[in-house]
Amino acid sequence: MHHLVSDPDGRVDLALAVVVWVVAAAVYLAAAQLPPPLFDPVGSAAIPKLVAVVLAFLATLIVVQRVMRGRRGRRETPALASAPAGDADPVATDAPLRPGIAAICVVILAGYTAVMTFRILGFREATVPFVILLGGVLSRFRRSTLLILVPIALALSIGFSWLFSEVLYIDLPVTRWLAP
Amino acid sequence: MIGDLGAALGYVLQPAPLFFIVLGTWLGIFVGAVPGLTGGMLISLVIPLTFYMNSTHALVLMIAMYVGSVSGGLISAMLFRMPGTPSSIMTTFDGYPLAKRQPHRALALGIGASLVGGLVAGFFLVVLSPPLSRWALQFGPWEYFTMVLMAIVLIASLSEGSMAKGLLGGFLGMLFAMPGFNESDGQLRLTFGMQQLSDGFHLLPMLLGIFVASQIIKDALEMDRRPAAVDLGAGRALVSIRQWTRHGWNLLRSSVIGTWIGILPGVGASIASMVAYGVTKNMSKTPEAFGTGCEEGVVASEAANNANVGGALIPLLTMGIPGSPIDAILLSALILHNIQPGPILFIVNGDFVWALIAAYLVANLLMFATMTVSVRLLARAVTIDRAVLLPIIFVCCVVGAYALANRIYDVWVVVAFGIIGFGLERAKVPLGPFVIGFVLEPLFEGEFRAALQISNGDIFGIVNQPIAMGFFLVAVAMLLWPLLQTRFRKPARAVDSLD
Repeated sequence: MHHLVSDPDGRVDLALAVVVWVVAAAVYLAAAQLPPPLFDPVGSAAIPKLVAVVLAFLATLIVVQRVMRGRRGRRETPALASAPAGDADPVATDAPLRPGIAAICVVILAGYTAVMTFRILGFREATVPFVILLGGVLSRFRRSTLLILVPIALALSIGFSWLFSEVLYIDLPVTRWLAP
Repeated sequence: MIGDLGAALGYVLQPAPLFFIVLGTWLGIFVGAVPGLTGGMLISLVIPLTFYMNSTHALVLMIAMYVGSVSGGLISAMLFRMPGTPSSIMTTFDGYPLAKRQPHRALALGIGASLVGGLVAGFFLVVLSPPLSRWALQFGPWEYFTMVLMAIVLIASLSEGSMAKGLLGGFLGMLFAMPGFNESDGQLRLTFGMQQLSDGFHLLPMLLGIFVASQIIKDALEMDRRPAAVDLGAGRALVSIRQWTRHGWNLLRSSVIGTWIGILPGVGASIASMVAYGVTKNMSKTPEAFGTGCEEGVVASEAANNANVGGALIPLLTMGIPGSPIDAILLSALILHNIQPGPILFIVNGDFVWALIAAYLVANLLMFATMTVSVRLLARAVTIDRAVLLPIIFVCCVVGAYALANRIYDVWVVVAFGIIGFGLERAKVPLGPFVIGFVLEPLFEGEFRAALQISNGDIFGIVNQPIAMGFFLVAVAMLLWPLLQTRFRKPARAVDSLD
């Protein structure tokens, strides 16, 4: 069990299993509250309950496998083919991952959606700062990238608004201040 | 059959369909060539734009994109050691070392093998589709239920990495397809008090989230990873016919492997190229040369991954069962265009199916011509700044998801499935089974319900259905095979058999 917590892959598997157990329990309990079927032999609850049980079993199996692999000290190997030796490792690079940037991007994506949900800004107004902000964060606000992003942001904002309202007759979200 | 194909070829070579095939092939190659962009992403993004198009043009466009995206991946795999698509990973192993020595020869071998793989699969697509669809007309609820079951087990067992995680992905996908109104008894289920969930999760926002938003988050995580480029220099990406002859047997074998793996429901091009690469290496006189720039490795991988596209179209067009994750998106596109997939499609809409098959063949030829002529331009496109591309792509996602039902809730679904998809990938849970589980769940549940009704609630009614029983036994065998294999080899390791 110690291996499960000390190994990064083990921690990921444990976190996955915990999330799946919680989801499976919630689904099973919600399905259990559904009334029994009247006409058809299956009803609404049977398949969700079955899938929840299978998911909980698979999550447990993943944890058990990880614990047993840790005990043996074996390394995971691909199921069908292994990479040949030599100059063959694809996407091998020294560049570090950027979890902080990825987290900021998620916040920006959610923020863009939120301002349109609460109609603080409409699609046309929100898209320009969104494109510049997301592209800026990804490029670390490189001046050359920002210079390209500004006209693109304006084109996307005005172009899609025009296309949807005038051609497709679909109103994209509008700010509450401009709503009729 | 020949007459139908000839008529369909005549149709797709008219200006409008041909324009969409050229556009789709080029966009697919571009997207395949740029690491971080995938064919699934492109086709998901294009679906909402096709709502206003003729259905045949829309599907022809998407099939050309599919062919182009699988082929385009070889450019970045060979020149930058970064597989543009997952199906090009095996190409990287030998393509990059070979390209360092002879870049034009490496590219020519990859492009030529892609063409041969695509055409061999096209032959099987033409020959097998009509009889398979006629055979599938006999299928009833038990057959469809067991075929979906077999597809899910097959996807999981052949997924890269752990089988348990493959199965987990498949069942999670099924779970996310369940919330909402249940048609059989009118019950609302798994809505957890959220009114929006009474309509469930729509297919398109889920696809945009899983294939596009999750990729944006992943790209943000890996933004600093820059490829090390090979200098193309002067020359042309062509190899003489005489030089191809020594790869003839390898080309044919790998193409057939790719096609047959494609026909297996739910198994994608990356598995096909892995299996073909492994078989070629095992049969080679110089297996030690693999990984150091071996031409056989490049040919095997590229022939198989392109053949897989054609193979995977066979179960999609004849039975409505997706042969790969991208086929699941094509299945969704058919449904969104009000076209009922399944064996009946060949009967009620034969011209449409033959047009798709003809488009697939033409797209392969166009792919070969385009890549041979514009490889230098495409090599430059690989280095395009993703910080510019990703915001544009997400804005396209937003308008695509919103336009589906005029509600911002669907944009939240895109963001949520983006986070779910990213999390699953970090936990090494494959996304292919997730998407296929989501797409096939309504069929699975509906056919199971119908099967039990015609058997008066008796689960053992399956015993009287030989085809269904065959599918069921294959599913059980696929599930148990690894377990038995390791148990016979070494009993103590049995628990790893699902690994």
